[in-house]
Amino acid sequence: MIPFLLNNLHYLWLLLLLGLLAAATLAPLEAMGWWAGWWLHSANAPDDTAAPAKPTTPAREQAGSPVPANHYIVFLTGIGGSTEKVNVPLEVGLIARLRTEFPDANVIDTIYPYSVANRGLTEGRFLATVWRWVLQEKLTGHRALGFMINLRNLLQVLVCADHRYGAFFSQGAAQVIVRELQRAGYDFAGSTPLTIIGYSGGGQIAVGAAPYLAEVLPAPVDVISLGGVLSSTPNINRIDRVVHIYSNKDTVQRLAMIFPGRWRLAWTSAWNRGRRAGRISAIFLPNIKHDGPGSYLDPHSQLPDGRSHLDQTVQVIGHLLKTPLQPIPDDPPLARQLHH
Amino acid sequence: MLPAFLWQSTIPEQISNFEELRPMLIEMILSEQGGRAAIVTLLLATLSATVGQSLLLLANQVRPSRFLASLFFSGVTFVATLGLWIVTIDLIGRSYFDVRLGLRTIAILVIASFAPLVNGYLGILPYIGSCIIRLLYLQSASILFIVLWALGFGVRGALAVMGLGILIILIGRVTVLAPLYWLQNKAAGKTLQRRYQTIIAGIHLELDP
Repeated sequence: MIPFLLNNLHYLWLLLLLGLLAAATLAPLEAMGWWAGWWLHSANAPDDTAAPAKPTTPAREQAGSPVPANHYIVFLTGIGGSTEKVNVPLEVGLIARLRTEFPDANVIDTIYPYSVANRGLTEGRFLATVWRWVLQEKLTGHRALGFMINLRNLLQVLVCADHRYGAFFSQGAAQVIVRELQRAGYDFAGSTPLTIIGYSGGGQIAVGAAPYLAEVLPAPVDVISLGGVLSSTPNINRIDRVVHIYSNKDTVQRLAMIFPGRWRLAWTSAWNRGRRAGRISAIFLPNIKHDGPGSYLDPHSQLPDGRSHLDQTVQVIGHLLKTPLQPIPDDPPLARQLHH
Repeated sequence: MLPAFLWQSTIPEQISNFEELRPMLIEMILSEQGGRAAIVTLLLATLSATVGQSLLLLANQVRPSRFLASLFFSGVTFVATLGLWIVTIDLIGRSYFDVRLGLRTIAILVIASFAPLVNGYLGILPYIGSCIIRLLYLQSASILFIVLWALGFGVRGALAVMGLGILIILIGRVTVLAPLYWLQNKAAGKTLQRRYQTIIAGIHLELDP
């Protein structure tokens, strides 16, 4: 049996390659079909049944009175995420810490950013049963199989970064964020700041969606990329502030170098213009891994000063949340740039 | 023989084995299978290139009921563009280079040159798709150049024919091909934008009241 399998290993590789090609070819369909109005169109419709101010902060829940939040934080899960409600243990830990540290902020963790309709992998899909099985295997330690989820989400990150499909995908992601903000009681005419924290691939979705939000909201909109794989999204300079947190041991965020707009050589790219204007900045955290033990979100790994990696990450995010945004004139709208 | 030579070898290899190319071309044109192979290649390339462009129709928010008809006219436009290439090369060959091969022969050669577009469906791939489609067109242009060179146009002649061909295609889009674009718009039920960037420039988030 084993010699037979070894002899036909190349067929297995070919099969995997064809499967990957098919998955990659079909990847833009969900977003583009949604944009065309072919499917999932009701998913982003305003939710009339939603509670106007759904309390998500434990302290505010205990108080029982709907005290308006002074900051709204939207968390976009990394490419290991598979459900609408964040279910990756280390990310759940970060969200819990954010809620404890910032009781006046409303932390939204009910977005699956790799779907334009906020549709998790495990519900309401043709392959939902398969994804549920994959997720169960992943949670029981079969990481290799669980990598299928990462791969699927990575393809959606590429859709978001694509100069043809990205705007349509990001439009969907922005609408999902609007809907969740609406459910959380956000005042769209007010000045309550909105921060989108994008972890890993969620960083790209954040910088894709945020420009559309920044365009229509009077309040400041900023993005915190936690080891994000970010491309030079054309409208990135419409976001009030983008802060990219990275590390020398984070090999995943370095994958963003496949996007030529991130290269220093691309002097006129939106990313480099944003950097020069001070709109895009970076914070370096030494010797932190991207995920798992030793990562930004690990509560057990300790720094030389005794703090955990998670403590450090929460402190950096906290510092950013408390730092008021400096107004920087927006780049001219994309339409005008194209005209020129 | 010829397709294998053109697709499986690099451009420098094709140039270094240039003497082998001419007999291969003649062999392919004279063989009975040449015409059939060209038709199959044309169908596959048209289908693939059309599928590669299909998401542009979704970007234009074409309704499902109108999608296939619109896609069909997109394929017809692709074939018509190749037809324009064939006529252009034939006319220039007759008029300036005394190359009289006949439309059938030139059609087989032009279709063989555009054979890389059989992989045009890869244009759908996220992020690398647009790069792949450009490379496929570049490969097609390179093959066309080599074929024209081998047919007796010479290097300058081949370059001139290609430059002129591109110019004629551009003019053709607003003249002889314009009815096909009109038909595609009719089938789609709207005026289609041919560039993603034009559509993207008009996108804005709308907050529900």
